[in-house]
Amino acid sequence: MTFTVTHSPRDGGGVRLRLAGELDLSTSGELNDTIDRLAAEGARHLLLDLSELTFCDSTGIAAFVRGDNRASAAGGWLRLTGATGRVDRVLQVTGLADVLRYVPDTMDPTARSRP
Amino acid sequence: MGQGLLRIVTTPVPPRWGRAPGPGAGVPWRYRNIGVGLLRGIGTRRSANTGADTRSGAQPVTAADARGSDPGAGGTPTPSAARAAAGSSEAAGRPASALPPLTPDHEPDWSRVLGHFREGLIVCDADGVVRHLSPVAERLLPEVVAGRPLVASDVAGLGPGGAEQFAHRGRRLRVRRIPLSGARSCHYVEDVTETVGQADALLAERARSAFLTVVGEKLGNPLHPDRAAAAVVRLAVPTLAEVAVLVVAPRSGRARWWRASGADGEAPAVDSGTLHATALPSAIVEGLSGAEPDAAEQLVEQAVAAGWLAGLTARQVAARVVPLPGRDGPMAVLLVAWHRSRWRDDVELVRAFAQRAGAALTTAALHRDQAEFADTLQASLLPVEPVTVAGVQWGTAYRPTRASLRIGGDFYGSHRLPDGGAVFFLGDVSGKGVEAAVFTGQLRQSLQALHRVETQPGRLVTLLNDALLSTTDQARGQGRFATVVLGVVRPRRAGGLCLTMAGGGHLPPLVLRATGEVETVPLSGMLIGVVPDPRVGEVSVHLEPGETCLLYSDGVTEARGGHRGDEQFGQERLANALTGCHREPAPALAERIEQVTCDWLAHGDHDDIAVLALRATGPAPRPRRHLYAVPALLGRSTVAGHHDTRC
Repeated sequence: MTFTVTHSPRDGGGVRLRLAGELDLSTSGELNDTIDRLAAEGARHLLLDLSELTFCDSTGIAAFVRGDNRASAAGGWLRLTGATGRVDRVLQVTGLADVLRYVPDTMDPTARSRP
Repeated sequence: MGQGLLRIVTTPVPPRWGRAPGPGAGVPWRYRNIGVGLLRGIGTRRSANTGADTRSGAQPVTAADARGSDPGAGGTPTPSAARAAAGSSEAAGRPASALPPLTPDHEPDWSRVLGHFREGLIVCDADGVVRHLSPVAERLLPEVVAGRPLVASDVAGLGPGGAEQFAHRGRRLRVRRIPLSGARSCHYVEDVTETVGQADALLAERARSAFLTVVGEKLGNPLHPDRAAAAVVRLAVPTLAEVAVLVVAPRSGRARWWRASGADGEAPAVDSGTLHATALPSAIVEGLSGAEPDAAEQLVEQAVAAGWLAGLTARQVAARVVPLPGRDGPMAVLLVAWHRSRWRDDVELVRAFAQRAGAALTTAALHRDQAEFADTLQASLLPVEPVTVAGVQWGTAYRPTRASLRIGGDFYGSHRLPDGGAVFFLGDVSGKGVEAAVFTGQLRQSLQALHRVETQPGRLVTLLNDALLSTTDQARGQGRFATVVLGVVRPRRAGGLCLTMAGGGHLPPLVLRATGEVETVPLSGMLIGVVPDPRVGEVSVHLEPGETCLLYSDGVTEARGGHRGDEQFGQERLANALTGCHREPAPALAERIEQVTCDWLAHGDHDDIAVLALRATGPAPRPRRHLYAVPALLGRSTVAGHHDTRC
């Protein structure tokens, strides 16, 4: 029932955020705050590692969308990676898996994320 | 005077004082010399042996002077000193040698000293005949005459067994009887009217505070304005009034009033009514304008004329009107009325009450306005029942989350198409409360307009996405989006229905087949309002008569409960709950989904729940016909016209 978000600098620039636990109405504020803080510190490329995330509801989805909106407004991006199980299913149902898919080989993943 | 009637007043004495026998016994040491001198003075006057002499011998110091004088300068004993004197029969004095005797030159004028006492003194000899009267005693007890037995004065409080305190000539007197040597006695008489009055006032003030505290508690919680108004008049009776009438400032030309009436000890009866604004008594109108009309005859007559003082005539009643402060001037007035014989005109208390009542009514009105606002908003956003379409039986369930505004983020609806079909949709917007409500409104309005120019579901969802993107530009930072399943239903010539549905990132619909099996419609697509040109999936489904397609929100599948309390209901349990229910009509199926979801919930707390069911009506299909969902994942450029070929 807990949620944690940790972050570390990523090779090649940007920040990798590791999300663990359940992302819902009660915890999405924490993710929003972290993203806002990183953005304020100048981070433009955010990669969210969801491999330890066990649950994500619509407020979590909203946090991803909000983060991407914010990053793209600054010329950057927010991408998701590592989603499994229920979280992956939610991303598939909402189509967000396509919108925010992280493509490692590309310098600018936004170029490929839109069909 | 009977020996057995000696009154002994005790006060605690510090142990170190002890007791010392001797001539000074019975008089506190610090008053002993004064006391001796006093008695000597009295003895001197006694030689004159007439009451007139005694009175003429009194110093020209009036009691009023004594009372008005500075206690320090005038020698008026302080209460503690008086108490010490009261204990004289118990408190033993120190030896007389403790204080050197005063020389005649320095000896004070004891008569003068006596005259400044707040207490009056009556000294009687062994036979009970009054031998001395101080001016204060004379004034307080004119019946007592020097030279005559004290009992002859016939003042009950001075007689044998008289009370320590008694009422006399409109004053409250306290008497102490102190035995003196030689079987003489002295009565100390004090006027305690004001002290008692202050104590009474203090008690009254405490009662006021207690009353206002109760009022604050009862009116403190936000109430519905009507209940608050009823509570105000109910609380006013009987403490403030025998009949209390609250008249609220007119809204739309009509003024509502509440009345409580009842005597002490019985629960007040409350009723209410309405008056046309033009029929309001002028005193009430005056009160509503902020003035506080005098407790005049006119006011009472008007109250009687208004029918508020049933069974009473204007002559019998006294009344007062106070305004109740609102945000912008008085929002109501309170009329308090009493039977004239029982009139307790505590205007300060009525005003204090009016202040609190006004605050409570203002708060209640504010809450009502907010509730009305929310109701209006919600009513405009509540899903309306689907339009009638030939061959379609609709079923719906809608249970918004218990949020403060009772406005959910789920929505569903339908629009009739000119060709006999209909557009239907069910979806969910992100967020909660007013923001979600406004977004839902935008979405519904967009669909209302767009379905007139585009009836192909995939393209309609794409247009909707564009419309939302343009309106959400300002709110992009908030991560606002919607998920939706949108379809077009048309009756098929061969019987049954053809459904073409487009997916906007929403949970895939279920189809309950005539066999009792549940299928998941393979519908995919992206949520809308996030990116331009999203991928929108489209699927056509055939429903034979008796088959049902079910759209639902994530409040169903994400409902948390079960044995662990936090387990999600999930699509599998939903499918299981519907399996075999193919004979149930659409409304029953929608209700069933709502029911199993609520049964699953552990805490009764839930997200929005919305269900939209479409059941194909008509004669049962011939046995061999069986149709399947036909998935078609289509890009924006390839969707045109496909639904026509499939159905």
